[in-house]
Formats: sequence, structure tokens, C-alpha cells
Amino acid sequence: MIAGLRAWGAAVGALALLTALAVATVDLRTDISFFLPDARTAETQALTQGLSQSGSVIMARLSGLPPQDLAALSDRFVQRMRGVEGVALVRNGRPHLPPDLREFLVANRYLLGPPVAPDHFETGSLEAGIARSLAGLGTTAGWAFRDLIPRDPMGRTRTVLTGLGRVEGPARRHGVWMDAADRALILIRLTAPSGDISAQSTALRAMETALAGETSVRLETSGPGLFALRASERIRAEMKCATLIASAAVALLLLAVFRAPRLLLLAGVPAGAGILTGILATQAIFGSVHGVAITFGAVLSGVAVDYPVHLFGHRRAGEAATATARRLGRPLLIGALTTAAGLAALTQSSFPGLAQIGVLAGVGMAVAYSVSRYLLSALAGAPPAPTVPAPGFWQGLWRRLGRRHGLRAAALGGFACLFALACLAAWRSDAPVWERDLSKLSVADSASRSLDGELRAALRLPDVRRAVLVIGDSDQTVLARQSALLGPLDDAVAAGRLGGYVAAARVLPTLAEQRARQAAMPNNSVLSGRLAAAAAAIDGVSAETFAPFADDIARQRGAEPLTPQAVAAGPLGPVFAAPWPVGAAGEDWAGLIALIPPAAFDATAYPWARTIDLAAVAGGIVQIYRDEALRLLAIGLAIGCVCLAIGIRAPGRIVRVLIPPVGAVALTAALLLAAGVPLTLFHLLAFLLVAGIGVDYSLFYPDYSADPEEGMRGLRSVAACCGTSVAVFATLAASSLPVLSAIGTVVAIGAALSFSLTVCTAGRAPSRAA
Amino acid sequence: MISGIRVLAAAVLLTAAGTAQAATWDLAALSDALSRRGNETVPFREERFVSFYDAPIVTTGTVRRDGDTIEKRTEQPTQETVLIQDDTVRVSTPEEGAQIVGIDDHPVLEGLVAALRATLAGRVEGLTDAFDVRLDGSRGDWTLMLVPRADRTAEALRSIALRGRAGRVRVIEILAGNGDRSVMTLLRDGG
Repeated sequence: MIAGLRAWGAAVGALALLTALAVATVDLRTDISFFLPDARTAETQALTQGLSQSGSVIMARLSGLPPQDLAALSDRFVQRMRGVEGVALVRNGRPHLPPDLREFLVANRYLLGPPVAPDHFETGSLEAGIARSLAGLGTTAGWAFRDLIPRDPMGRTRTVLTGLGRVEGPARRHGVWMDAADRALILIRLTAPSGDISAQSTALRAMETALAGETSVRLETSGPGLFALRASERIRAEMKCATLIASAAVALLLLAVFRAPRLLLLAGVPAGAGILTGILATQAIFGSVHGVAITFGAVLSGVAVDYPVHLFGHRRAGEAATATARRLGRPLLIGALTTAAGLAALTQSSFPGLAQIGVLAGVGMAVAYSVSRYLLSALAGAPPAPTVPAPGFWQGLWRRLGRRHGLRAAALGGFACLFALACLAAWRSDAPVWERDLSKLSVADSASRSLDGELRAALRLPDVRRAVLVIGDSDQTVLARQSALLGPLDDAVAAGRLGGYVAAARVLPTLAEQRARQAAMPNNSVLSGRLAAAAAAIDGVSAETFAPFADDIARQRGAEPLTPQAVAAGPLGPVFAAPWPVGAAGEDWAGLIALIPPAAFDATAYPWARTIDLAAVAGGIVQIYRDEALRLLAIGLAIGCVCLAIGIRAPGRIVRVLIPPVGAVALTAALLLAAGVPLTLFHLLAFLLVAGIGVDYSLFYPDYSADPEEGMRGLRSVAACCGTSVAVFATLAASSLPVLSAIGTVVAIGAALSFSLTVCTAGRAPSRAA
Repeated sequence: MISGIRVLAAAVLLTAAGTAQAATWDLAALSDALSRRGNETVPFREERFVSFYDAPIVTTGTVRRDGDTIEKRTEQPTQETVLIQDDTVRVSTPEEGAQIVGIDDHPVLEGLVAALRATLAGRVEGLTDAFDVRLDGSRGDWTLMLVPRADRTAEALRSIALRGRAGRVRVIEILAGNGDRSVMTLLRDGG
């Protein structure tokens, strides 16, 4: 007993240590990167780029007050948010230029923006520019920016600014953006990327604080980062709830079947150790762990929860726990190996998320097996007393099942008929076999997706369905080609076919163009001479006034031209779409021009430009993802079968063992398709779990020729495993999250079918029947 | 008969005016006097002085008050309309069309808007939130000095001085932090 306590202490200590290690070292990711492949084409990278660029965007909508009060509130809200750390830009429709951005634009005004006229620095132009600036002092804008005149008498800053802000925002009421229903619209850009969940949650809290006391005001927010934040919060909440309900159900079920509270503690040890080790292994290999991988990896290696049940349930009266473990070692090994082999194939996926699931669950299975086989007996308790009373119910059931092989054969036929009917229904169904919409893979519900679309349209953000991708052999080529497109793009805007666009080349000319501009700038003495001549021609100004202008030109003339990287790292960064290298070698570069609806712009005339549909690209990724998963799962299945064959050797038994998992997966898939449910990647993963469960059931289920006591124990432990699986996954099936409910439904149905098929196909005991 | 009533009414009004005149000249009285003026359109001439330019920049046009809306229309040398309505300032020029200017971004504008609204629409007392307000002189020749309280504003706006006679504002002088200044003279009484 004391030894048992010590073992328990060691087990709990080890689990605590693993948990602490995982908490301390794991870099948990929850962004969209899980779904994206190691992008190889410019198109798929455009998706990543697009997502990461808009990643830090938060769209907000305020309602609940009369328009005028709401406009005032919008201003107060914006003012408060601008002071929040991590917030790069806040806009509500009022012209706003952050001081650092203003300084950046002023300081680099001749390197940035539209071309500079060749005679810009001639005496005549300077004189005209100065005169214009002075005359402009009579206007509101000229007076407001008068401090800039000595530094920028030519008004170049205004030219650059005008070019920057050409995109028309939403309509304004009382000076701020409002939608058709008079709800105030606000756009916030964070410095952190969308994957940074804690930054999102900090920003969200700051927004709520900024509205503190405004009880009647309703704040609605959306954005890719918030999606990730809310998804992880919801998954956590739903998983917590499901875990609670499922744990209670499992505990009650195991207690009712075995009447041994100790089993409840035992059941969690191998799976817990496996999942924690799996997480640590994933972290070690990938450098981070995706939240979705943990969820699925944990669910998949959850098969191991059955191992202690088998070890406990199969234990003969008076048998030492180590002896039971030794006796069951072979089926345990074959079952674990088969499942682990299936998972191992996933590690070869080009999708980091899928590969992570493979590693996490594969390692998890291996560890869970080792713990169950070699360590669990120490916890199972020393006294091998008649462990469990042999209830008459199970014995009676076993005897009856053994006798009715006719009925079992009929049931098998029934399942075959059901399969045929389901296949027929699926064949005739109009519903697609595969889900094509990437958003369905997302964990967001449809209400928040539609809010996102509404806000995106109201704020006139770029359309995800249309963008122009420009390819070149360097970032400079991409910029040059983009600037060749600016004319046609502006024409389309002027004609009303295009709502606006965001292009890097609009702001940043190529290095060559910047150098040409620098070469066209006169040197300091020439410029000073011309300035003196220009000033002399105008009454009331002296040439010294414009010394800051001469200094500024001298500085810009000698400055290092701006690279896209430098601009992206500066105050313009949050709104600048820098070109990026395609492929590992970086031989190609790509740049994305975002189009704002109506986005009727065609780039087919340019061989180096493509009009792309990011949603279709995303859909294509889903297809690649699913095809790859399907291929890898097939490979995994084949390896699993080989493992099974090597482990079992007897051909007849191999077929019998394979019927339940294969039959359960096929029948579940057919039933889903017959019901018009398009399959997703999550269904495929769930099938893998069903297969693992099915193999275990048929391995641990005794032949009907077995000793009645032995048979009873086998039937009881497999039935308990099936009962717990169905309880757990039926709870998940009730989840409101499509992902969880898909897995729950598949596994709950699959586990029940696996059990039924196992019962029907187990060895028929010919010796006794004869 | 009707003329009799008219005379009576005039007498009553005169008496009331006399009573008001006899009372102390303070912000409440100024506010009262300003708010008694109805909607009107007044021509203005504005001179702006900037450190780097020795000549004043002269503009002329009209200021119109219509309820809570104030419109400053510059005719010479460049056409421009500044429409102050609610909390919005809309600046329109023939070339660029209407543009909404955030008051917050231009503290000088903020001062101008506050001063114009307060004095032309008679809401002087509301000014004490944002300004230190001092009223000097008599009803016949008063000066209202506004000095912004917020440091943020003070950098760009040192003070606003309004001079007038009874309910009529004659001169608005705005002094910027760097010494630049604008003097707007309202030329004629509209009503």
C-alpha cells in the first residue's frame, strides 16, 4: 500500500513536472498560420501577406446614441485609444496625421510620392511656389500649416499627403465615419500582428475602458486577430464545459461497470503523460505549438484513455497487475503501433499544423503505450484480490452473444445494407463531398463572420475577392511594374470602376527613381543662389527665411534612398504593403495591390501582373490541404495495416481485426454524405481516431471460443471503452463550434459502429459451435 | 389704437434696456447682449501677420450667423468658405471642394471656432471651460480676453481678444504661440 502511495506520488509528481515544463517552454500559437501551407507560390503567399497585413486591423462600430452624440463619442473614443500602447493608428474619419508620420513624410517628401517636375528647383518655379505659399496664408489650410512654409515653400508635403489619402473612406456625418444606419465606424491598427492574441485582448480591454460609463453605447468589433482571440476563448470555454460533462459521464459509467474508483484515477495517467510529452516534443521540433494542434493531438491520443480500462478490465482474479500488463502487452503494442503509424504519416505534411498534430499525437501514443505497459501496474495496486466481482449481467450477455451467431451475421448483413443505402443516398445527393470554403474550416461562427463582412464593406476596406499580384525578379522590379500600373488604376478610379487601391508604388518610387530625383536636386550653393533670386522678386520675404528648405534639400539629396524594408519599418509601416520574396531562394519577388470595391480592374494586359481572387486561393489551399491529408492518411493506413499484419500474422484474424475499423470509417463517411454534410479536414482526422479506436476494440475483444470468465471481462472492458468514447464525443458533437461538433459526431457514431462491428465479427468459436 | 400699443411696447422695451444698462457689466450681461442679436451677415476684413513675411496677408468677405450655424465666406484674394455647424468645421474651396477639418488637429482653429460661436451666438459663459476669461472696459467699449487653459492648445494659441460695443463684436484678434497673429475686423452692423 505504501509502495502504491509512493508510486502515485511519483506519477503525480512526474505529471506536474511535465505540465510545468510545458507551461514554461511552449510557445502557443493561435493564429491562422495553422491553416496555411509552407507557401510555395506567390498566390498562396499573397494570402499570408494579406492576412498578416490586415492582421493588425480592428474594425469597430459604435451605436446606441443619436448621431450627433455618437460623433462626439467617436472623437472621445479615438482620443483615448490614441494614447494606448501597442495602438499604431486610430481613425474615425477626421483627418489625422500622427506626428511621427507627419515628420517622416515631410523629411522624405522629395523621395516619396508622385514624380517631381524637372523645373521644380528652377528660380522661376521657386518664386511661383513661394508666392503661392504666401497667398495661401489667407486660407484655413495654408494658415494651419504656415510653420511648414520656411521648410517647404513649394508645398510638396501636401502633394505627397494628397497622393497618400486618395482612397475615399466611408460617408461622414457630423465629421466622422458613419454607416447607413448612423452607427459610427472606427478603424484601429495595432503594432502587433494578428497572431498576438494577448495584444488583441489588451486592445479590446482598452476599447472597453475607453467607453467606460457609456452604458447605452454598443460596441461591436471584428478583425482577423479578434477572430483568433475569440475562437481560442470559445474553444477553451466549450472544451471546459464539454470536459466537465464528459468527465462526469465517464466517471459514472466506469463506476457503474467496474465499481472501482481507483480506475478513474488510473485512466488519466497514460493519456495525460502522452499528451504532455507530445506537446513538449512538438515544441522541440517546430519551435512553437499551435493551439489547434494541441486540441486535435490531445483528442487523437485520447485513444490511450482506453488502455488502463483494458488493463483493469482484463485483470483476472488474483492476478498481479504486472502479469496482466504482460499478458495484454501484444494487443496493446499492436494497437498503439497501428495508430502511431497512421499518425506518423501526418508528420510529413507540408502544412505545419497537420505535421504538428502527427508529431503530438504520435509521440503521445508511444508514451501512453509505454506508461500503460510498464509503469501503470505499479499504480494499479498490490493486492490482487478478486479485483472485480463478476456481475451476472455481463456473463449473461457474453453467453447470449456467443450463442447467437446467426443473429450476429444478420446484423453484419444489416450494416452492409445500410452502407449500400447510404452510398446510394450520398450518390444521389446534390451536396458537395468536400467543403470548399476556407471559412468553414475557421472556428468563427456565421454571425461574427457576417459582422466582419459588414464592417469591412462599411469601412471600404480592400476586397478579399480581388487583388492584383505583381511579380518581378527583385523588389525594385515589382515597384517599377506597380508604378506602371498606377496610371490605369487611377483611370479606373476616376471612371468609378474601382473604389480605390493600396499599392506600395503609390508611396515609394524605386531606388533608381529616388536616385534620379536626388541627381535632379541642385547642390546647396546653387539652390541658395536661386532662392535668393526668388525671394528678392517678392516683397516682404528674405532669402534667409528659406534656409530650412535649402538644408532639407541638401539632406534629402545626400540621404540613402528608401528601401521598401525601411518604409515598412517606419511610421508608414502599418499602411504600407511591401513586396516580399517568393520561395526560399528569393529569386522572385511579389507585391500585392489591394483593390477596394467596386473592384472592376483587369490586369491581364500585363504579363507580369495577375488579378487574383484571394478567397479562391484560400479555397485552393483547402483543397491541397485535404488532398494531402487524404494521401497521408492512406499511407498511414497502409503502414498501420502492415504493422497489424506483422503483429498478428494469421491472415483470417487480420481480416477480422480490420473489419471493424474499416467498416466503421466507411459507414460513418457514407452516413455523413447521405445526410448532405460536406467533409472537411476535421472529419478526416476524426476518421483516423475512429480507425484507431476500431483496431483496439477488435484486438481486445475476445473470440467467442474464449473462457466465459475471460470473455465476460473482454466484453465488459471493450463495452466500457465504447461507452466512454460515445459519452465524450457525443458531448463534443453538441458543441456550437463546427470543428468540435464535426469531430464529436464522427467519433461518437464511429465508436458505436466499431463496437457493433467488433461484436458481430469476433471469432465464432467453431469448436464449441460444432 | 395700434400705434398706441406700439408706443407702449417701445416704452416698455426702452425701460427694459435702461434697466439692463444700469446693471453691472459682466459676462452674463455680455452674453445677454450678444444673444439678443438675431441672424445677420456682416462683412469682414482680416489681416494676418506671420513672422517670416513683412506684409500683412489681407482677406475680405462676410460672416453670416444663422441660428447655431456660422459661415465665414472669404471672397478675396482666394475664395474659401468655412462652415461651423455643430462640432464640425467644413472648409470648402472652389478647387478642392468641401473638406472636413478636425478641430482637434488645429488648435488655432479650435480657438477661432470657440470664439466665433461664443460671441456671435452669445454663449460666452461656456467659454470658461477651455479658457481663462477676462472682461474689461464698459458696455460701450469692452474687451474680452480668452487665454487657453490647456498647454496643448497654448503652444499654438496664446490668446484671443475680442473687442466690441454692447452686443456687437468689432474686432477679433488671435495671437499664436509663436507670435503670429490675425486681426479680424467686422466692418458694419448688420442689424
